Amino acid sequence: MTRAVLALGLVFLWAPVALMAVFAFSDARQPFVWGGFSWRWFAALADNPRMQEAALLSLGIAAGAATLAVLAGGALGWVLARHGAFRGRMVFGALAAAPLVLPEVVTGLSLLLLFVALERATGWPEGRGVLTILLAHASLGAAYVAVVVQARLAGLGRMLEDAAADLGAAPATILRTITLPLIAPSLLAGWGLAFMLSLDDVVLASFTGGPGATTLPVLLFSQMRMGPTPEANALALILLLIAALVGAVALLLRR
Amino acid sequence: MSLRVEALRKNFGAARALDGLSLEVPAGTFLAVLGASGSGKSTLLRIIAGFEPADAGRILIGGEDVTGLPPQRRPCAMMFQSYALFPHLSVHENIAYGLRRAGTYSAARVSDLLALVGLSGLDARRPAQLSGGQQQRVALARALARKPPLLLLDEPLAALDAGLRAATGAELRRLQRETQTTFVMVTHDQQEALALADQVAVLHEGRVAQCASPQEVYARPATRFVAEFLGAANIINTPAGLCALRPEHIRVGPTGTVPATVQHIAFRGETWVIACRTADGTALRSVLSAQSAPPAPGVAVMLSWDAAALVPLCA
Repeated sequence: MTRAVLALGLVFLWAPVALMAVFAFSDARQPFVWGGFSWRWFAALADNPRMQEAALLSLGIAAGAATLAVLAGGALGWVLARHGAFRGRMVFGALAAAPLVLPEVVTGLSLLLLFVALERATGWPEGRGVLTILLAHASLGAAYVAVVVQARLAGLGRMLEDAAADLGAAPATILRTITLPLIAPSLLAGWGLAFMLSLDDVVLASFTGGPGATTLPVLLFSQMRMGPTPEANALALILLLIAALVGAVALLLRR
Repeated sequence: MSLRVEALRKNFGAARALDGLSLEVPAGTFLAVLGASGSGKSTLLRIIAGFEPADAGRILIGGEDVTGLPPQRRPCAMMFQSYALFPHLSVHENIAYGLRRAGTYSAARVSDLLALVGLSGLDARRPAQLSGGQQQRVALARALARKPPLLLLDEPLAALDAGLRAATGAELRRLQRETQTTFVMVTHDQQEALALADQVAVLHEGRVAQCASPQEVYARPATRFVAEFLGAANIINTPAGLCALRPEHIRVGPTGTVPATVQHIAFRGETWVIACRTADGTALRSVLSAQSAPPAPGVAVMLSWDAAALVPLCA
């Protein structure tokens, strides 16, 4: 019985993905028809400079946003876990975690308004583009990293840091020699999480991106309006493999 | 170095952990702080080490007021109950940690410390690759590395199994003598406190109920709590007031002064514990050597004791 339910759940989750993966190798022009095995759509992808450009842009934004998210979210998580006695901590903690449950449309719209207002007031950022998408993704990713880091620090407890202080280590030394090495796996896992969030985001990138900066998911989404192509299938499969790889590494590191 | 604790107070919300606790530990003494769980003994240690601020009161180490100092600047080291070894560092680096911070690291010093606790050659191991007893020794070596004049030990033997506990306790005692360090050991185990310490401070409701030599606190408990906590003494009401009476001082036999009925008996290895009830309903416990034949439950017996065995209690 349990096995049947498990199998049903897994089929529900993975059948569409499997279907997409299979049709990525179909020779037919329509993505729903099996036309025999072929690599042609992967070859077509390789010949499509627009797709490649978007893919590279997406990977670059994802890496940059994830790095920024680890720096900001790591610091946020550390403060919330270790300097948690300040006034309004509960409110602050809830605010930090809010982007996790906030509808992305709301986040996207508010970020867009912020960037526009900022540009009017200070002249920066100039228009919407790579930078604004990166910042938007970093802000969402930071919330995830903060949660992961905070959970890890709460699980570790303060004892090891107390022991280091007792042995004469200054606060900065404790952070460098004890805290950071111990939360490094969480930081890496958080990086992976933020990377994946950025890599598959359409909503934030649509709101905060400009004409010059079309990320891969946005391009894919816009092409869907002309009808799906097997080329998109092939691309989605590649994205899936990258996400799976990053996810697996992140999962391994979190243990 | 000597340790002086003056009128320490600490509340956690509405809960009172320390209630004006004062304590005086001469240099080179092995003091056991004995108390039930929740008596505030771990809080006391954390405040002495500087991890927790006190609400009121002062801490003096070697005559110097350290109350406002952070843990880094206090001349004491702490051995944590669960050892708090750094899991990402080798045994060698764990022990070297304090030496490196002080700029006095040398590989030879770490080797000496490993030899001192009998772990030579385990330098490269990670804490997770050690047994509980070995981890305890690494924690001890790490705490002793900088030759702290005052060592705080939080239930150092609690995580060891019974077989290791006695031997490790004797080892602690030997190290304390050899290094002439002042030891303050927190424990809930009265046997451990009596066997190892020069002085025993019994904590009750956030204060020191009695602080004296093990012989003194055992033979002449000051309060009812101390009498009951150490060796589970009988408490009896005499015309002169409440008195403690050790089970080993009550004779059970056919002749005596107090008639009683045996309620139940329990075998404890080297002794029998005989629980009796006197005619006026007072429950009294006595012990008999395991070699002698115990009276059967329900049998009427006579109890007697020397007047000198009665210890008057102040509360």
